[in-house]
Amino acid sequence: MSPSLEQLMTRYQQGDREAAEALVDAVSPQFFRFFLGCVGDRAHAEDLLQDFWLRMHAARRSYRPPAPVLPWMYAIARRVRVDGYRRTKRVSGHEVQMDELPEVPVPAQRKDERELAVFLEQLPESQQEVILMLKVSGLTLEEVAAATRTSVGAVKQKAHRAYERLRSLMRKPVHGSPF
Amino acid sequence: MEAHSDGAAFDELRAAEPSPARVDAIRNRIAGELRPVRPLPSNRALASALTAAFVCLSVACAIPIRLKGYYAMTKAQMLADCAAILLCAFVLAFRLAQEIVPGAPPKRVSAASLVAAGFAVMAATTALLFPDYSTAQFVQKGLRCLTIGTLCAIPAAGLLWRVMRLGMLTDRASGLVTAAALAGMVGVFTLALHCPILTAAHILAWHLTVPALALASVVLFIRRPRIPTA
Repeated sequence: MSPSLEQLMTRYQQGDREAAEALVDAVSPQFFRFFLGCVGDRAHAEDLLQDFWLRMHAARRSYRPPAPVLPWMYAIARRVRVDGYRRTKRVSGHEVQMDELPEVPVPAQRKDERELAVFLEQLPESQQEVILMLKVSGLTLEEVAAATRTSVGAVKQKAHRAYERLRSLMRKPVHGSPF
Repeated sequence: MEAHSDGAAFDELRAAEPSPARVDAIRNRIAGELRPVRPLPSNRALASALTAAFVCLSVACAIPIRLKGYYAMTKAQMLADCAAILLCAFVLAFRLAQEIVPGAPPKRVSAASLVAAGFAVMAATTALLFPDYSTAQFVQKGLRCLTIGTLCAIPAAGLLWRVMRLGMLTDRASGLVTAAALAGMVGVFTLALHCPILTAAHILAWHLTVPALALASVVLFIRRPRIPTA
């Protein structure tokens, strides 16, 4: 039987190299998806994933076993996402427009990923993260509530509003894709 | 994209994987910096330790400049004043312990409301214990107290910064406001032990200005203009 995330996290705190590596392998994909859903760009999502791991590593003593590890990790991921968003906004606010753009190879990205990113981008941030945690990461309502520091009722309300908005957006054709 | 089912749209995202090279880089970086750490103690234990450090630091700051306030107060005044200050310090320390743990349950009371309540308790206690509103040498002596209190709050802020770095502030504004109020309270306690001027006007205007000043500096820090990073 493979160890649970909580057991891996406890061993990681104790300095177990194998547990740390297993934890990176086990949770990186779901956090990558969370960041990808938020920013809609693979390279940016990978940068956020790396930032997330460095921040989590620095704050690893704040995990108290045997508490569920995912809400703790998602609370950190939310902070990384907010800081990443502010950094991007700050940098783009000071960018200088060029007459001619240099040729940059664009990494291949699936069409549906881009389309979903366009829809998600139109949701408020709080609804976006709730929907990603529930639909993509598969967290329970209680886990999302703990990660977002809100009540289960508030999570249900945000999810309901987000589904409604997504459904209405998906019925319309997409205009002005940012990609 | 028309009439797309939400399930299908999310299926694509659920199948997305990070590049193996990036995961390898993360794995190597984490494994390279690995050393054992002890999990943080419970909120209550951490708050008790912070309150004990609060008392030690305040007494250590007050002893070199003499405990004139301690000797000037009656026993009842001393007990009531210390009880109010320590109660505020413990509540703020407990809140700070909660703030540095990501994924903690939601709070019913905001940090700003908690700090405001602390100020109200301190102001009411002062008004009840020292009902003298004379203002002789108000500014001259007051500025001296404000300077001493602020100088005592600086090492406390440094200590709290170290404590905050043990965890992570997921709500930076709440965490910093709580820490600033707590650091300012070190100045208030030091002045309670040191300052022999037992008038409500002096204490309200100058002693309680120390945490107010700490809060103002935190607000300025949070709202500072940002320099582009790239």
